[in-house]
Amino acid sequence: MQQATLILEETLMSHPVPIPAEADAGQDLLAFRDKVFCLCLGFAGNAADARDLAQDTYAKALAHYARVRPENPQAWIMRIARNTCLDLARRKQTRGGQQPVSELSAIDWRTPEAYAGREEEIGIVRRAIAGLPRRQRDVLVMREYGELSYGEIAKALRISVGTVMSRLNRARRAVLRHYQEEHHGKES
Amino acid sequence: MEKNPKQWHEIAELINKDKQRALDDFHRLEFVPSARPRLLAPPAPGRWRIFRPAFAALAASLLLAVGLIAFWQLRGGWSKVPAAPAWDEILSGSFLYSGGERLAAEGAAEAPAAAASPLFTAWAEAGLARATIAAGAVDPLASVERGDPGEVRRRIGRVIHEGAFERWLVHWQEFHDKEA
Repeated sequence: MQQATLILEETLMSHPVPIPAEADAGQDLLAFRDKVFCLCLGFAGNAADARDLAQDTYAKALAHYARVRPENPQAWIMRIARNTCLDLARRKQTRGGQQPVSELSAIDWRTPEAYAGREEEIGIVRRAIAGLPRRQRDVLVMREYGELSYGEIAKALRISVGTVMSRLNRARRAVLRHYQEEHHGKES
Repeated sequence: MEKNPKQWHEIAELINKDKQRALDDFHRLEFVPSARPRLLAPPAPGRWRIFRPAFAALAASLLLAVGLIAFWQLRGGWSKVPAAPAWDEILSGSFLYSGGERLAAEGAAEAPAAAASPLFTAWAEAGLARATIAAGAVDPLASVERGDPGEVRRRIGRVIHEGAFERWLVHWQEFHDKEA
């Protein structure tokens, strides 16, 4: 009996099957997958982690969608994505110290950007975003990577639109300053 | 920010490039959102709902009520419950308890004396002195068991007050120094 349960668990682990009751909800939420992925990319800093985080986000969202029935599914799933990303960052920090920014910003040299010579600049921007205070980073990533409007960000983070705007302004200034310093420093 | 929109535009362009590249990779593989298998989910917290404080308090109250009813049924009433031993009986062997009792009794006896009139006190002392002479003086060298404990306490208190122990120690120190 125990053996049979173990086999069943292993099977479910290796081949997660969408649950029929949640399949419809999955289709509704699937419309936001690119935004969720990009948001995770903004927080994680690399595509592999962003994919895993998007998967985790959807797993959590589907597990609770039927019970919660959010009014604004996009803001809801974006908030889940943001919390999932912060959880992962916290776990990494607890396990083995903070991940170095250079590793976060690692870019595959096989990508077209690498050949176009922009990889270094993208790395600078990623490092600048990773170095922002958490609140500013939340807003900037949601705006620039998640492409959410001010109102959607305000709903997702449960803050006012004015606060979103001021944090976004500060975040952009900080990123710009960092970018200019690093960029010009390397040029000189 | 408004001063350098062009510069931010440059950064936004870099972010867009970063996103586009990652999205291309993302779309290359199929993304099937699926819930975690229910069997692998941790045990539902509902299982432990019984241990929540409200339920625990309710369960404890029910157990107490059942216990009291059972006790009533078995004994047939509270009157048949054997009386608990008095505190005096329990604590009679305790040194601290008996000492505390004595001190309380002394305090109670001394309190009204302090409030008494000086004339009455003088008269009472004179009467007590006459009674003591009549009964015979207490031997000061008698052992504590046979002597007056109150007198022993007074003497010890006097010795401490006059610093006799200190003088005795100084004396022994001088003696020791001379010997050395």
